[in-house]
Amino acid sequence: MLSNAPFSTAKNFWYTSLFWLIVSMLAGLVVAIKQIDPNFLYFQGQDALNFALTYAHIRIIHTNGILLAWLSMAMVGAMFYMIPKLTRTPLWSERLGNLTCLIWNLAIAAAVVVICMGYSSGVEYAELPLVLDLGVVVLCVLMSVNLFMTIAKRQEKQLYVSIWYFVGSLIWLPLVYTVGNIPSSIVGGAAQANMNWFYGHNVLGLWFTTVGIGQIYYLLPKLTGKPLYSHKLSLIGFWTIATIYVWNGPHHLVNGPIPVWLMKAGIIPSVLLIIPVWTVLANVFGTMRGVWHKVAEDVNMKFLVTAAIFYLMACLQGPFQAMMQVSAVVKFTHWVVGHAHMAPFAAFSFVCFVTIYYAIPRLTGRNIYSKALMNWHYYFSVIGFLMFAFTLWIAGVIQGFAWMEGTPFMETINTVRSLIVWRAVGGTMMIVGQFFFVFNLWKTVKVGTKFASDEESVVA
Amino acid sequence: MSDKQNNHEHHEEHFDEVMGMKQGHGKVPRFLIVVYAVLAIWAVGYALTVKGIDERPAGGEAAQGVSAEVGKGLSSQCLACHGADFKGGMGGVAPTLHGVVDKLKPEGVKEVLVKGRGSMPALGASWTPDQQDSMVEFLKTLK
Repeated sequence: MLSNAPFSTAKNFWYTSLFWLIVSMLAGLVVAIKQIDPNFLYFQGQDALNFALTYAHIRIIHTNGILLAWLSMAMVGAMFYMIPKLTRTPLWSERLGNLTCLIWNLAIAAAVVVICMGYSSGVEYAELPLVLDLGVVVLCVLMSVNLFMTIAKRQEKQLYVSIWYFVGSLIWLPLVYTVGNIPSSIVGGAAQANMNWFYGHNVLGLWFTTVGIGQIYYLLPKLTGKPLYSHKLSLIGFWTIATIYVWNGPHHLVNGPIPVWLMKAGIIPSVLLIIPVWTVLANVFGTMRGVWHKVAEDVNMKFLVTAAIFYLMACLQGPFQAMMQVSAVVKFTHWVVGHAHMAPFAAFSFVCFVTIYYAIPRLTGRNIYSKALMNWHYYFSVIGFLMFAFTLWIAGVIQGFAWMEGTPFMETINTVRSLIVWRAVGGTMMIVGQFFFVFNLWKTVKVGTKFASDEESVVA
Repeated sequence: MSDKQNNHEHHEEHFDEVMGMKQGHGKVPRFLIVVYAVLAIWAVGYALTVKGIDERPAGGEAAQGVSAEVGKGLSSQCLACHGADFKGGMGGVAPTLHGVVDKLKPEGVKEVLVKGRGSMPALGASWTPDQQDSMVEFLKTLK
């Protein structure tokens, strides 16, 4: 179980993350269907089962499963792969890494059980009970020790930009997570909401985004064979995201019961986020110059460039939504749900797909089983997501203006019903795409054609 | 190194190798520098000038006068028990509201609103007479 083989930690994190990807996305599909038909998965007379499968529980499993299981584990796997590769130093302890992976999976499984039993802190995205929160912090410490020791033992002094992003993320995550999970019995009120959103938005901005960009900076030169466009842009992008993103939380509370100065302290950095985002994208597109034809040939490049474009879109929509007048319309509507899926799915899940597609053949010595399935994975994910997102955005705008006119809530539910049906269709496509992904990787590991790989050993 | 915006040619030639990764020295594109400056100026202006929005009508009462429309705005409280289409719910505990005004007459409806009845709470206890009349007008439209 606790293997000491090189890169076994990365592989185990990825393999288990794929399981949670499917589980969490199926939970998402269940809540999407429950929005169309609340009686879905309701069993007459089975009170205990109905309690476990109620909308609120399944939604928490979906959000926490995607964020803490699939996406976090895929990204941790990426760090356990890329940091030893970059430092050309074996991981400090594969055994500890595998132990971390094991505890992580047990913690997520425990989380699913306690959520279904009805335990929740009642704070969005921070629903896990305190015991499990502490478990998450312990996991952060275990993986950070392992990765920092690896970096400390490196031969080459200078650090490549990906490593800055990884190190930053590993410092920020426990900080952000701790602030967001301080029990509401201690704080409470509007201050609690502010702390909740400090975590709720920064877990994306200082964890998923930053680990994701670290991966992009590793993958892009590898896939294109070209040098990263600009060291200066890397510096600007890194330090501006570190200083600006951390302020984004209050934009979730605009027009709410917080002082106006605090709203502004959330809105202004939301717009200034354009600085790090466009800087990173300038670096991406600068590197791409002269090799755009590769996007047509290589599915990984397709995923990576699409992820960059969705990242750009998410970070144009975000500043727009943060504005007081816009927020007044779209807040609490389906619009926000459409926006909230763009960065975690269409940007950073895509980046993780590329990392896994890139690394698994190099670690197993087997070529990807089927390029056709990769293409199916890509098109189902992209088309499914576009359908999912646009129906929600349209529904959200309709709802927002209808509520402003005082239309009864139930009437607006019926108005957007058909859009919500199409959202579920788009969501189903997104999930079908992931089945292609998992099946393709399983076949790769089992029966993929062999190629000579020097990646099993760390090249000195 | 020229200062031309179009600096695509020469930075490709020399790059560093950091940890086996090639790293070029492309310049910051001019349009990005413009973006940085514009955003910085905007941020200061926004911080100094913008006030919060408050579109609540003075006095805090949105609904004025007697109309079925006002009653409809209040009716979202009825849905939870009497059903999304007001045809009854809670396994028959909450009866249909279609034709309720004919059955109880306006006075009777208002009495139930103000005092509650059986398992129905007194939802209208704090309503103004205008709001109570508006609810009756709205219930008349359910036919």
